[in-house]
This record gives sequence, C-alpha cells and structure tokens, in this order.
Amino acid sequence: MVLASLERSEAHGFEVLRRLEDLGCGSLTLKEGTLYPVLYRLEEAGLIRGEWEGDSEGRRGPRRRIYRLTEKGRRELAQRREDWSHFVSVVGRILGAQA
Amino acid sequence: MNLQLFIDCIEQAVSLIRASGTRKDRMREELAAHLAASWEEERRRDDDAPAAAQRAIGRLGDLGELSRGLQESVPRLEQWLFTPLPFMRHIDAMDRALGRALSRRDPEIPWRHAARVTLRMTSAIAVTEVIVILVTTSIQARPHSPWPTILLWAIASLVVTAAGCIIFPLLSEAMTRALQSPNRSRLREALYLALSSIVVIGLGLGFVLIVSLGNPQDILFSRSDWPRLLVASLFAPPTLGFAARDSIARQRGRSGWGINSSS
Repeated sequence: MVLASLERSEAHGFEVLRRLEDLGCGSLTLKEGTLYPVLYRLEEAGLIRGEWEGDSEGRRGPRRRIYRLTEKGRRELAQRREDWSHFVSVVGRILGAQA
Repeated sequence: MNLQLFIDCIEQAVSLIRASGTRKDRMREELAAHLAASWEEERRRDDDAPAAAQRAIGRLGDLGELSRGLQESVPRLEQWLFTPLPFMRHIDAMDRALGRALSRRDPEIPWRHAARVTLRMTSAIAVTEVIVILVTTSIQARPHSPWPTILLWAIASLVVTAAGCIIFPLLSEAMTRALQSPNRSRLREALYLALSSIVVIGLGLGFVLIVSLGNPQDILFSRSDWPRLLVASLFAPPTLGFAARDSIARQRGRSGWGINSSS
C-alpha cells in the first residue's frame, strides 16, 4: 500500500498517511506510528529512497524526509499487484461458487 | 506553546532502541515532523493547543508498540553492534562526560571553544607526562634517554597537541558551516577535508622538527616514517566529517529537532 501511495509522486510520511486514508475512503484508519517502521524497512530493502527536504523550502519546524519509489520498488509493486489480482480472482471464484 | 511534551514522547519511543546515533536521530526528527504536522491539523479542528497536542500524540498509537516496530526496522547487525553491555555503561558515561567537556556550548564563539579545548587537553597531557616521568625515574636509577631529550619530547607533544586542539575545532566549525550553508559547495567541503590531512602531516613534521632541535646530527624522520604519517593523515577527513555531522545533529537535538520553532 505504501509503495502504491508513492507511485504517483514522492511524499513525506504524513502525506503518505493522508493518501492512504483518502484512497481508503474513510474505511482505513491507521495508527500513524506504524507507518515509519514500514518506511524504514522498505528503504532498507531499496524499494524506496528517502532524502531530507532542503532548508530552501522556507518551512518552519522539523525537516521532513521525502520518499520516492525506486526502480526496484516499481518492479516490486507491479509484482505484488499481479499477486493480489491472482489472489482476488481465486478467492472470488471460490466465494462465487459457494454462493 | 512549549512542545516538550512531543520531545518526551519521541524520547520514550526512540531512546532505548538499539541502533546507531545517526539512525535514532533520523527517527527522532521524522517523528518530530510528523507530530508537528498532526498538531497543526488538530489545531485547525479545535484551537485548544494543549488538547490538540495530546490528540496528535494519541494518533501515533501505543508508544511501546511504536518503539518495538522501530527496533525491528533496524538491521540485525546494527542491533547487535549497539546492544548495551554491562561494562560498556561506564565507558559510555566517560564518553558522554568527555563529549560534554570538549563540545561547544551554545553561545560560545569558535575561538573561545578552541582555546578551552586546547587548555584542557594540553593540561591533561602535561599532567600525564609529569606522572610518567616521575614514575619512570623512581623505577629506573638512570633514564634511557638524557634529560634534554626527554624534555624536548614532552615539549614537542604539548606544542603539537596545542596546535591540533586549536586548529581542529576551528576546522570542524568551518566544515559544519559549509554543510549547513544554503549554497553548499562540494569543492569547499573537499578542500576542508584535504586541509585536515595536511594539518596532520604538518603536526607530525612539527613534532619531528622540535625533537630534532636537541639532536641535530641524527635523522629522526626516516623514509619509513612517511607512509605512517600519510596513513595517519587519511584518518583526518572522515573524523572531521563525522565531527561536523555530529555537531549539526547536536544543534538540531538541542533545538528539539525544530519542534519548538513550529509553534
């Protein structure tokens, strides 16, 4: 989900959460702290890359870390989408047959 | 509003994590940015700032769970390397005390800081030298080297320490400013790093020059000493880079990672 939220454009952690919640249309409520371990693991795996935003942004307050999808991350996202489609179609067939 | 509440919450989640200081600082700063953004959002809903701060913290979820999640995101090797050992506690405490004694205090100007470091380090070395000389002379009836040579070595080490202690804090300050500058220049940073190596070579040569004063006939600096000095000089650039980055992290830590400026 995090990879998909970064597919459109780069984002900082808070923005990633906003995107996930918007895409979930209110059905998805996350404990916000759970996002950061996920971001760090994805970065460690080379699927996303984070960089501190520059001081030239003119913002007050703490610096934000901006994440973007890497090529490896794009391939992984495509693979996971394929796996998910397969899973949904299999489960859909099973549930459809029972109905 | 004083956002110490946020800093306490971040420390509760991060301080006990087994990871490098750099990684933990990154977690702190990112959580600080997140809390500041949540707080802004909560304040737009309701102008009661303290209540908004509490809600922003609540949105993070259970802090123990967050801490465990962050710990699991640290690579295994790093977790292992930063596992606190019982006997390391005293070494860490000594390291922190030394850091406090030698690091720059907030309103202190760079020259004053360099002078303070120089005074402390040369005093410590002078005291050590006196103790070593007294112990050695009490054990041996006659020292291996004549007294003028011993004194010259002692003076040379003090002069070189003093020069190094003056130059390196100033160089570290210049490097810190270069890294923080809005118009960062890689060339300038590379020059400072190269300069640190040159300074080490200069200090080594200075030491030999002073010691040679008492022994002008002998060649004290043999050809095989050059590679040693060059290898020693290679340690200076990474040390300078690390010191400058550490200084920036400490500055950001002292300002609560920028949280207080967001209020």
